[in-house]
Amino acid sequence: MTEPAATGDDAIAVLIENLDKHYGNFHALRQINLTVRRGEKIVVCGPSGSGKSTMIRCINRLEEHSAGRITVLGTELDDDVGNIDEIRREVGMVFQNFNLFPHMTVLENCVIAPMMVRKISRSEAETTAKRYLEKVRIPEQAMKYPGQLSGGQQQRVAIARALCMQPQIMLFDEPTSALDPEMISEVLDVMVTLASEGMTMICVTHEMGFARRVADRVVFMDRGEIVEEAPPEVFFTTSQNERTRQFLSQILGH
Amino acid sequence: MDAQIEAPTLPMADKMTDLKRRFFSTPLQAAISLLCLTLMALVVWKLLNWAVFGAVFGDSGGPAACEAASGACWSVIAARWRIILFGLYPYDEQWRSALACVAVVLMTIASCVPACWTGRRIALIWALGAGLFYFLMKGGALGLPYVGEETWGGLALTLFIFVSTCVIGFPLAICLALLRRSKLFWISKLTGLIIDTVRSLPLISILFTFAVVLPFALPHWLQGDKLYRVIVGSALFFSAYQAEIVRGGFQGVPAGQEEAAMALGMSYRQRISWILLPQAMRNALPATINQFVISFKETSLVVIVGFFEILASGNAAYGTGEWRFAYVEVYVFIALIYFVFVFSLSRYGAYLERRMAVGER
Repeated sequence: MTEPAATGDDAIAVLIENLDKHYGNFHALRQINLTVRRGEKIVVCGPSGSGKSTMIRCINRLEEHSAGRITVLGTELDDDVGNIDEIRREVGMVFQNFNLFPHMTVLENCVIAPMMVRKISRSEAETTAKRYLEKVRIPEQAMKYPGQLSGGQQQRVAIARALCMQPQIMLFDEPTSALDPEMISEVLDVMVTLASEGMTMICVTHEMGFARRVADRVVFMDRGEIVEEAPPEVFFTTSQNERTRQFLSQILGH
Repeated sequence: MDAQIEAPTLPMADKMTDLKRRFFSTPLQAAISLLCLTLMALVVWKLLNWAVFGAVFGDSGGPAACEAASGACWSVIAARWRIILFGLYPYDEQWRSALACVAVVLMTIASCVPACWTGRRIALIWALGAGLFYFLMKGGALGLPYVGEETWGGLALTLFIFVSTCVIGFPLAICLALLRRSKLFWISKLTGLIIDTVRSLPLISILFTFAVVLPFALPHWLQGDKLYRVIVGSALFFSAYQAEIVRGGFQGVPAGQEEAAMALGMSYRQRISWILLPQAMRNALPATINQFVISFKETSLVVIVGFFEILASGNAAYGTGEWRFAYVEVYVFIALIYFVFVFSLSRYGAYLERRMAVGER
């Protein structure tokens, strides 16, 4: 990893200050401030179009922010391309639609980036990959292609693929939203295990049970703003915020 | 769908009832089926009569034997095949031209084998194939007499122009497609303009420009032989069309693929060569094979700038007075040669599609 900035705090994984994001005239993110310490698990929720995905996509710069500062592992994200690839190595991401590489086997999906980006040997990469495929409980699928797996299996491969880069932070962008209901728990189980091992995690999800079990803090967003940020026991029970109460009644109401 | 899968395993009797049901279920249908059968039989009979039973084979009788016969005159092929295959290439050296054809065909086959698809192997195969072809055709070393490009012709010339067009044009097409996808406004607009300009010109005018007009514009040391200028022109034309095919292939790759590769920290070059290009090429495969087939047949246009590729040397083969009546046989022969190459190409395309469909489902 690059040297932390002189003023940076080693214990801070992600620091977002006064972040703004515009798409043309649309104001997608307004004055976002968020601090994530190493080892913390943050769950981000909110109605669709509230800017949750946009915010976490700014953290590995899949989206460029319009104003404000994002500091990841002590390095500020700016227009320097070399620096962004170094940060992306340390920040794994899991997408709603898995985005596995369909022309490669599961194993190849897992070893390509470590070999290309981290420049480690194939045999070493395969050993690591098999360890993580074991961890997500699908070692027997290593030689199959993504198209031959179920959605839940594909998403677990996607988690393994991200872990193979041995990142320090994991971003989850609605990892269970595209799954059939019976497959959600197998993915959440893997995420719970990962959390228990101390990984720094930022998860955009509507799985409130997961948030209750795992999150250190729940961040509630609406219309591009962070409306509330609270520990789960406060967020789910005693929150006084009108918009939070309304969202929770919609999502937990039935 | 199920019926199609089961059809080949039907027992014989079931097949007969199936045929009956399809073609003879009503009297009118039966009548139409019989009529078509008769017509087909008639055509096949006439064709066989012409091509086999009434035909003259072998060179012994000369043109006179053909004039007496009712069917095809294959003697013209027996007598003139060397002109068709090798053009004006010196008679005693034509074995070199034949070997050169074999070299090009072997090189093409080798570069079609998936095991050879690494940058180094492909480069080695192409360098070896092209070097061997050039050395055999041109000579002037190791005891082989010198033969100038102006006498190259026939099948060897057709293959050489086609393969060089693809070998130069294909990488160029990928570069153009990538430049056209560039986020930099001027680069993508400029590339688009170049592609559209080349596509708007007829191939004949491009060939003519490169063969005849360009020498006036270029300094002498940059001109090269007319043959190489024509190849560059045809490669440019090929790449303009192929670039759009490749670009279409890129558009078929979901945006999430590049994002996933970016999120893993892969650089632009790694994303293109390992993630996007393989998928784009798979999407573009049917159209690409189509473009190859078209280019193969378009090589016959070089005749307008004075090259005797296979079609033109075919004209020369029957154009000598004594064989003047036998042009149909010559064209059938050339058509068969085209068919062999084009059919192999499309079978190879089908094989690639099957191979790449693994994991698609």
